[in-house]
Amino acid sequence: MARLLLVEDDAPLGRGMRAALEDAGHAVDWARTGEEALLACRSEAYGVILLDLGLPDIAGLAVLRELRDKNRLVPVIVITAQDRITQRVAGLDAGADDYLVKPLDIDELAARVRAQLRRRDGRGSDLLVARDVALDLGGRTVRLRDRPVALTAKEFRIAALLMRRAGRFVSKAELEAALYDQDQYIESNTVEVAISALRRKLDKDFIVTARGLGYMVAK
Amino acid sequence: MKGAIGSSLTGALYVRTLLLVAVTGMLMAGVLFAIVRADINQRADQQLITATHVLHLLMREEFTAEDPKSRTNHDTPYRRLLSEEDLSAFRASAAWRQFAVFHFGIPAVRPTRSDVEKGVAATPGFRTFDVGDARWRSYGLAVPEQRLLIVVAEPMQVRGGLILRVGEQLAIPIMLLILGSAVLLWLTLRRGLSAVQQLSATLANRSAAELEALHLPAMPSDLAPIIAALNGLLERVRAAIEHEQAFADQAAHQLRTPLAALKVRAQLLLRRAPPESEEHAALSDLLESVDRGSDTITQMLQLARLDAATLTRERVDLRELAGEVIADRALFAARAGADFSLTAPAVAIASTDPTPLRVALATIIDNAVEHAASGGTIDVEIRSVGGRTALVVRDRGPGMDPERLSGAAGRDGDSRPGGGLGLAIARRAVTVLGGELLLENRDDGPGLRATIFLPD
Repeated sequence: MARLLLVEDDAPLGRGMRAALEDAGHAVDWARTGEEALLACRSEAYGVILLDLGLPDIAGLAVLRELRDKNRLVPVIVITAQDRITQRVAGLDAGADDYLVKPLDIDELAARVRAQLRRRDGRGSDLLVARDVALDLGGRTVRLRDRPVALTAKEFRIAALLMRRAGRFVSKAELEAALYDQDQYIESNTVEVAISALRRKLDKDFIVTARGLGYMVAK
Repeated sequence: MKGAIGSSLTGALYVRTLLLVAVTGMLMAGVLFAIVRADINQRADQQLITATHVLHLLMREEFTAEDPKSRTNHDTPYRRLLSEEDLSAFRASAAWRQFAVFHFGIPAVRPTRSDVEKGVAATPGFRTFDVGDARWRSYGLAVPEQRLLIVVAEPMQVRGGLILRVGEQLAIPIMLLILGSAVLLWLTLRRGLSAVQQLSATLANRSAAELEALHLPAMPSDLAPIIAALNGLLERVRAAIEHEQAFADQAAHQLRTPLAALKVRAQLLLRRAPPESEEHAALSDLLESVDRGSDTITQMLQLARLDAATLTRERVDLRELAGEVIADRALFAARAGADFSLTAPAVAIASTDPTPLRVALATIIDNAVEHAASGGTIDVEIRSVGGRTALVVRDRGPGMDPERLSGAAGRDGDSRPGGGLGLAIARRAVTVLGGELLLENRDDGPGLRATIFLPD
């Protein structure tokens, strides 16, 4: 599908990840040091870069900053053994697009790579990506694992709001308010009906519910 | 400067310095008073001498008016030594004085007061004597050529009054001087020690996480050793915390990287293994063990971080915090068949450290999800229990053996099957926070109720 750069100094993990990514249909270049990674980026335009922060030669965040200086657009997924919130913030501040903590799940890894590829292909902020769903605000289309899905206007509005706020709960009142300017009158179960339709058309657990909090699309 | 004046540095310095000023002031006043008194006595004595000379001058007229021949006749006293005018003039000039004139040793003029007459002696020079309760001082001027002895006496009280007046005049300026010094001293000390207050305010305003060296260029050089010692301590504490964090980070990297390789390989093999095969089952077991191990590493790192944690305080929106913790787990819980509900007042703000609170709530909720094998709702509630803010998590798991409830949240881990270090971490996090964790079995059917009480 795309050419990826994997930057990982640990040989067994690097081989395993390369095998997993190739299994998902990608071509993978594997750099074992920060120096190698920066060199590889000079000659190749990668779809996604997977960067381990614990490199032997250059600090991972320094590699990330240098990559960002050269190429503003290439998506970078940081892979690290550190899960402290301050480190996560530092990684995202340095320009990472996503953050995965070891040990990672290969299905999760493949999904995150797909999401980054979709985002790169989309037109900037018009494309919302969460899990296996890509929603194009401009073209008003929704794709699940690259297959188009037909949604009603209400369902589209709700999906767009939930995906824009992915990872956080959105209350039912907020969802109703988002529908108001379209219809003057909303039935008390309009939101529930749309949510169950979205669950049926997309994945069952694409939208999770919690009483007292509302609805959420998990990141 | 709160508290008793004596217990504060400013107060103690002030009291001591003020005492010194007061004692010095009093001593100076005493010395001044003694000098003035000696001076007054000396002058008064001088005046007594002058008075005898004046009397003698007044008498000389009478002597020269006599027949010159009679000058040789020293054996007979004069009938009149002083005219009546002279006498009354002299008495009027100093009404408090008494005098006597002896001619040939015989009193020629007597004092007007008989009690004084008794005390006056016909001796030359100074003499002090008592008249009733009062002390008197006299001076006798001997004029041998004329066989005269002139004695002038005056009560000492006259001098005492004078001395007292001088004392009174001295007292008011000295009191004002001491009072003025007291005010000035206090202001000077406060000003001088304001640097100490500034230092303490700077330190008090720091959070536990702010461990960089103090930089206070305006401080007086006397405080430099204290600031240097504080900076040394801050540096050592910061280094110790950094070392501990670096160690935990290093341990995380060293432990998680081989586990990650193991998990990737096992997952790839599992994909290729035919379903229902022995190989498939073995790989599933292997993956479960890897996941269990990595969960334990995560928990141990959390515990290590909590031990090295420095507490801060900020305004925390508990509703938002609980919402975020639930959001992070909602998908995982949904896949495990459990769902969440949050009951909270519209506004739930607490002043606390959000990091340990988040860890405590997250581990309790993770524990609840883990034990919600049969599904059911995990209720999270924020409410006031006995005036204290509490976060309550109720699950529909199997609950706990009542005998083990008390020990369950100790360091030995969860006694529920499948439990890791979760509840131990929760208890540690709540302890770090200064709160209290209460574990009970639900009274409305099976399940565990965990209550985090926030500190007041």
